[in-house]
Amino acid sequence: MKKAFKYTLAFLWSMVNLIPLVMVVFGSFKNTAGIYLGPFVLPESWNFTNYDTALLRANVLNGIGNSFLYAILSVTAIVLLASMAGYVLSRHHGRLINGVYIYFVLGVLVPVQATFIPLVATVAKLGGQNSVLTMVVIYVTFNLPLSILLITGYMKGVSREIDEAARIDGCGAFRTFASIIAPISVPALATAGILAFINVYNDLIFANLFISTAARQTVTQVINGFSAQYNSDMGATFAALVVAILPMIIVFMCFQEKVIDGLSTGAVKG
Amino acid sequence: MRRFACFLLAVLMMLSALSVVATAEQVPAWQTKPITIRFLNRWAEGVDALYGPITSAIKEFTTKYPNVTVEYDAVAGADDVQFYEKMRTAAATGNMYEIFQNYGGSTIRSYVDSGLLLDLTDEFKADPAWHDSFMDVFSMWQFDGMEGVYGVPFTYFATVLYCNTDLFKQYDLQIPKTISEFESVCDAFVKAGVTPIPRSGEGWRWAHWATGMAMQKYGQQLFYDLANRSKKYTGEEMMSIAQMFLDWQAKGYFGQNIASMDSATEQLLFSTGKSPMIAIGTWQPENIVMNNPDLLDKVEVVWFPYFDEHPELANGNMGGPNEGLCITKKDPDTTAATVALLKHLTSAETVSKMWESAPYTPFAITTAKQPDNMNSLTKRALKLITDEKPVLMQEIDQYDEIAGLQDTLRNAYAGMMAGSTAEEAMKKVQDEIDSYIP
Amino acid sequence: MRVRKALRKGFVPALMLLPSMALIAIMFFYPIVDTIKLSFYKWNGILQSAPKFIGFKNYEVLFRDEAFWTSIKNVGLFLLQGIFIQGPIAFILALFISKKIRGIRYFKFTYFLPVVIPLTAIGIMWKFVLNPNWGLINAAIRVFNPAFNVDFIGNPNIAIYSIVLVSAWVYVGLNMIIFSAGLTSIPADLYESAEIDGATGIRKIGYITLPMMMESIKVYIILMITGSLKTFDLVFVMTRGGPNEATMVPALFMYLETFSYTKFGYGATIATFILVTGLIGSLIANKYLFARE
Repeated sequence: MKKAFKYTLAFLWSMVNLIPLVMVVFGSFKNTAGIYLGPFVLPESWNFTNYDTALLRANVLNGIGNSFLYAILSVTAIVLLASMAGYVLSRHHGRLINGVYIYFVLGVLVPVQATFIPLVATVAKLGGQNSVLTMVVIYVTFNLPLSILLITGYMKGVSREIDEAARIDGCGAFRTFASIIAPISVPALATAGILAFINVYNDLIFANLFISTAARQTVTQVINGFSAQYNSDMGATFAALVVAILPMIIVFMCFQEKVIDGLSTGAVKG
Repeated sequence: MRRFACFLLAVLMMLSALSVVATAEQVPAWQTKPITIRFLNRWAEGVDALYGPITSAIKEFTTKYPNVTVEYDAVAGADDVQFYEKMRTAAATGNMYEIFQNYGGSTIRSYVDSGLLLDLTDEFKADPAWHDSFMDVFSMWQFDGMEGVYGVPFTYFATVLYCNTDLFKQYDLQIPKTISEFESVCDAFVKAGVTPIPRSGEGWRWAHWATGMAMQKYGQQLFYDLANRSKKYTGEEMMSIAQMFLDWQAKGYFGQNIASMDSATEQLLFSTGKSPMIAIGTWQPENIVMNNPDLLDKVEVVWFPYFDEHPELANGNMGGPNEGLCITKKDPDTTAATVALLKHLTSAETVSKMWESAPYTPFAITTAKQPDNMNSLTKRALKLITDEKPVLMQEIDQYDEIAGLQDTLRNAYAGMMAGSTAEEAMKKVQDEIDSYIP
Repeated sequence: MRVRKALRKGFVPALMLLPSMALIAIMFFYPIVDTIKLSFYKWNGILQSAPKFIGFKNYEVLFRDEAFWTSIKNVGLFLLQGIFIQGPIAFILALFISKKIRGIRYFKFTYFLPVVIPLTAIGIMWKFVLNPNWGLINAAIRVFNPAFNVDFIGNPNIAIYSIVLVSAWVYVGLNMIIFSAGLTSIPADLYESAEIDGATGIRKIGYITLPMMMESIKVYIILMITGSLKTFDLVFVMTRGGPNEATMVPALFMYLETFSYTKFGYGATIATFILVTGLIGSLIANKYLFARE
């Protein structure tokens, strides 16, 4: 009896999560007049005209491509840099190391908005607008602190005996890191990487500040701009939303175990 | 010896003749070296009918001068917030567009103050025919305390009242001429269960209407008094207009939940024959043509009803130059190329061609040929402006020097129609002015 | 000799730390100094225009600005929601998925789904769902009460609550995972011995689960404090701080003042305020939460 109750509530909550998405999918097949009729009216015809408009006009695919590009490049760099830093932080002691650790803690606590205006001016002076390099450097910088803390926490739990064994075998610091500690820490690297990926893919404000040409826009910029511009063609906006969301959902479905379990293990040790 | 001298003279003469010919044929640098011009506009693909015409006009230019690349960037959306953001970010990053569309006035004043924009006075002196081809509505690109003209008008407009004669007939009502008639017509519609004049809650809709009402109730001088601070937004003039809007909202003239209604919906409601009235600019016929062309002949266009106690101000309203174009000063060759592009875009031939593809936009170039296929409604709307010679002023905040005043005013009105009081809204605007650090 | 050996030993580790530290120093910490400096100036954001020094005037204006106080109140609302709504729901869900139940993959999938969708898309999606005329919520309630017509986003009195709830909707899934990680690390024999002593259901949770999860809960609270100050995307897309600045949040306030009103110095002032508050808030939370040990 109690179990049924629990299941019902749990199921209701899962519905709360799914229904808005389902609504958007339904809406993407309606035209504006149909949307005005309300959410319970089914589309009169299941055609893809809205998707036509969205794909052709909105540049959504290009946006998705860009978002993935920035995310993949950034996450690669983040994992590399953060794992190196984490290794050093977890293997050394002393006041200096503690200071460095606090340095990165500050990076998590300090809100990034405080950096916008000077960054905009600096990027301008260097002429770095609309550049992949600029975006990657920025995304890496602002996601490093949390990644470093997560990975450091995990690596602290990796037994020093492994390092000892490696040293006896003749490995230097870097080889120990690269060949042994890093592979062991993959769960934490995965956690950090996944969180960073979500952050970069989600970002709107940095993209708005530094990207103005359509060719380099992220999917978040595309959706935002499209909904403002096409607010009279809501069906097309819905279609654009569906196209924009789909890749992340597919990736999530394929890697569901890795994502969720990776986050849990990483979160525990971190 | 003499023969040699003659020979030398002949050679010299030939050389100098050649050099004269050479310099005469010397092509200006901007026509040969690679130049990039970035153009920020408001006519976007898929949304504006003028996108096609203006991009073909640009293509004509770049075909003639293949060394010039023009990057066209457009941000549409009736609410120009995103457009301004793009423009301001470009300025902030030192990367201002070489040529950009704008509405002049306070929104670009800081660029003029900083010396960013090109003063076109010299160009006008060199080409008076070009200067005279424009309607004399340069005012929004001239600033008191500063010499020079920093932009040209491209389109013009006025806000008018469109009435669906079928709906009026259906309820046995006459098109209102005065405010009191307007109110009784609205009350009658409300009683019959029809929303008389739905209006979006977007800030610019109300800033526009307030401008028109200010012209009709107080006249031009109020605009200048507010700008030179001898009058306040919290004074009785602006307060009475704000309160009037709130009273009308309470009576149900605008519909429910207008804070969630966008201007595109507002236009659509009229175009599809659902609302009897809409008070908006001369761009409404475009919306009707795109959605319901049969409606065109059933619509009557008039000036918004005048205040019973101020018939002398009846010919005042919001309007004047609409979109204009400005040039940012860059290196001499790029600037020269941009000027040439501007002249091309505003030439009579180009405008006539654009006008034919979009026969519902009032262009401010008088030498252009009004297209034959212009719909009757636009013709009638334009006639109102040309025949009745109204006194038109742009949005009331445009005459101020504070760059952010337009946003403040629009937000204040949007907030007011979403639920605050007239005092709160006007106080917000006045606070912004009072806290301004020059 | 020892110094040289130490230096050589420290060389590779330093090199491994250097890129991260340098990047953060140049792109993160240095601009912050610039921002704090800029807060004492007035600047219209045009690169060719020089900023003008005005001392503390920006701060004076800030503390008199209604939008500022509204944004602070709204951050408080996000915090409250995090503590009283998001936290408990995430905790309950974590309890639920930590057991071996049928369909656990389905539940984990749907609960975590909102987290992987870009916040921008979520904002637009919910804007439609909450629309007063044809949105899902109004339409659904109208089945029971035809007169129901609430403008969830356009009504200045309730707009912020709507956004706060949408935020909860998104982040419950993420925090559920964090909590469940903490849950699974609790050894099962603790529960067994408690059961032997006669504890059941809720008492087990109160006496064992919660105390053992203190670590995760503390991490959650710190992340919530910093996260609340950072809120931007949802509000930007759904209401842009309106109507009437009712939904203003500090990050958005800074963005609008800088890029819409072109008051860059004032924007820097707001940014400095966010910075100082974030630091102080985290330090205080840190002291109270971690000092308990």
